[in-house]
Amino acid sequence: MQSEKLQEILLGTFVLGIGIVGFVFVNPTDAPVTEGPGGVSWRTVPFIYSGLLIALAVVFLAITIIRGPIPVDEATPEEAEFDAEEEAIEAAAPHPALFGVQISTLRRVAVIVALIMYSQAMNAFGFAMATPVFLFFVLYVFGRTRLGENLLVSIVGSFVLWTLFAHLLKMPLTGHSWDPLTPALSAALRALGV
Amino acid sequence: MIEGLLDAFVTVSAPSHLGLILIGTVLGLLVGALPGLSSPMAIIVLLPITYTMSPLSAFEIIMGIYVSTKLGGSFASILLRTPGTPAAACTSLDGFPMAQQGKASLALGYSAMGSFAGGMISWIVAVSFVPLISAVALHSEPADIALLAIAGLTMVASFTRASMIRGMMGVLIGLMIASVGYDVQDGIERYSFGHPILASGVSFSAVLVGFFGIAVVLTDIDMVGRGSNLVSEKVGMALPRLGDMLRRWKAWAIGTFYGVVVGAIPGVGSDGSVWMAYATVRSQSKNPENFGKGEPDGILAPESSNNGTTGGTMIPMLTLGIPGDGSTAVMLGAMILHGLQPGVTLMTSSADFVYGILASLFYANIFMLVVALISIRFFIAILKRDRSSIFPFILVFTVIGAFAEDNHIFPVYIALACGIVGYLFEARKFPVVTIVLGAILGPIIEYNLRLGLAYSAGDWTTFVTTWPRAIMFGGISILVVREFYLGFRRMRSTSKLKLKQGEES
Repeated sequence: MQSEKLQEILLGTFVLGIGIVGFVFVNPTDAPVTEGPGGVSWRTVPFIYSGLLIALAVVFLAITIIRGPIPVDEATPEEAEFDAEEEAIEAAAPHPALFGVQISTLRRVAVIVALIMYSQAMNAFGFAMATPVFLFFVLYVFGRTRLGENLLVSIVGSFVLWTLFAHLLKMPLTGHSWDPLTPALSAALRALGV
Repeated sequence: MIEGLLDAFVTVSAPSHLGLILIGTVLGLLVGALPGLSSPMAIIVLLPITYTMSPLSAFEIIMGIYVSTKLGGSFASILLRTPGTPAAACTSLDGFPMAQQGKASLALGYSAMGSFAGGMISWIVAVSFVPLISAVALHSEPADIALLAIAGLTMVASFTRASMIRGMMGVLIGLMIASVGYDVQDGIERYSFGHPILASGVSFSAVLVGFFGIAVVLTDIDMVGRGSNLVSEKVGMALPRLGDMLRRWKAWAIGTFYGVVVGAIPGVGSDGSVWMAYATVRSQSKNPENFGKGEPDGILAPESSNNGTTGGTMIPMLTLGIPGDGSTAVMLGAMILHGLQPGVTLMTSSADFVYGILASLFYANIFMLVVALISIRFFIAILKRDRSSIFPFILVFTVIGAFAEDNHIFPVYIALACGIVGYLFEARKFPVVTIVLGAILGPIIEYNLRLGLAYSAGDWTTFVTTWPRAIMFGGISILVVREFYLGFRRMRSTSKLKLKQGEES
């Protein structure tokens, strides 16, 4: 219960932060304010949104701190019952851990890191080179330990996706730094008459 | 109206168009059958593939996905007690016990027939109301449109399955996302933080793939590696007899009613309507004690309600540009990405497209039943597959989806940020769909608010000077006050309950 309250406080604080950032940093260049009809300018609407967000986040935090987490609405008692059962099943399900951290949490972190690296790699080396590596890594992270099978799935899957997006749909998925594979694949497919 | 619809049927009945609906239907059943994958996610994932298509062709696939995902979700509910989609959770209450009794094929049959009945009746309602409401909406002025969009967002925040305060905060975050970039009237940068890419606004597809793609994968990573043991391996689909369906007319009629009505109200979507339909049918039943033990009415009601929303959500989406649920929010985004302007003028500017969508909806319902009947064994085989081989490919699709709109890598980072925030919010039962709806309706609200003020020479009373505007303004105010009052009352009763429990222990 305490940890739930803490998580709710963190959520409220995060939303409050968004509101404050939104209120303070509407314009980066201190642009002049010229009021239009009804006294509305370019900053009026963002001010209203961020101001309301700050007010709601403060109310949310105050209620959470004083009375505890705000209950979530359920459509009917049946739904509440079903949700409670689901939570019980989820709690009873095995949650394997590694170094004291749940594997699902480690997987989440690995996927986020992999996505950042993949985006960078795609930009530099192109879709054709980055995607098989990304798929191979994520398949392994998701517990598929047959490396040969993963390699095959990654390469074939990437080639199919590359053919669809880069070759057929003409998306510019070429790397900006070093990408020898994209022209080679394009030439190979042209030679095959695809 | 009838002429427009008939023309659309002629167009959509061409084999190439029917083929696209069929592809969408198969994909939808597939996605629905796999717990963890949802209709908005499937539409998002497929968006980059549709960029080179005409808007109608793209929406033929999308309608196939949208309609059939709802039925697909019941397969896992009935055979695994793990709902394929959130709205299918209710079906498991009676579907799973029925399957345990050795009647899994019949349970799937009731589910298919309930979905079909709900879908077809709601299609008739949509076809009847879309042209009517469009004709009325066409006379609206900027002030009306701004108020309507605000009313839509207030309803989203009020009726969404969380709490009003969470819903409101989500809507406001979405509105702030919509404010990023150049102000349309003064041309001043907002929230760009000096970054030139942000000056042109946040990529809409990046927001969508972040909240509905990456966030969903991060949330459902728990499912990776978990086996799926079906209640029965030898399963087909046994459709109930027509007489049996007619005898149970109350269940699917009530279900469809809830589906259509709730679907037309922004925010609730099918996730809420199925539970309301189930509760009503149970309370109306002569044998309420049979519910939860394999009662066919307990399958028909939620399934007809689930598919009943498909027609209901079309009404505000096609006439007012207001989405009813996550899927229609993504559809509005898809319309914008395909160069269409959703809203009150859609019917006049793209009537062929609107009628084409309605014709596709009709075919999608028929294909859903036929494909499910013929290929149920294939979908059940897929159902047993582990998500570890599917999620990596979904992640690649999300990256391409974010990249494709501007052919730039920066939106991918925005998608990732939205994905992480969406996951963290979902974990705290924060309705991320409200953020997306806010992001969609934000530009409409600001543009029409300022235009309305310009028309009235800066007079704010323009928002209450006509009867419809006064009613809308009053409705918004009542809704906000009511929700806060109910919220405080609920909190007080929860506190009293806790106090009582504390005293007892």
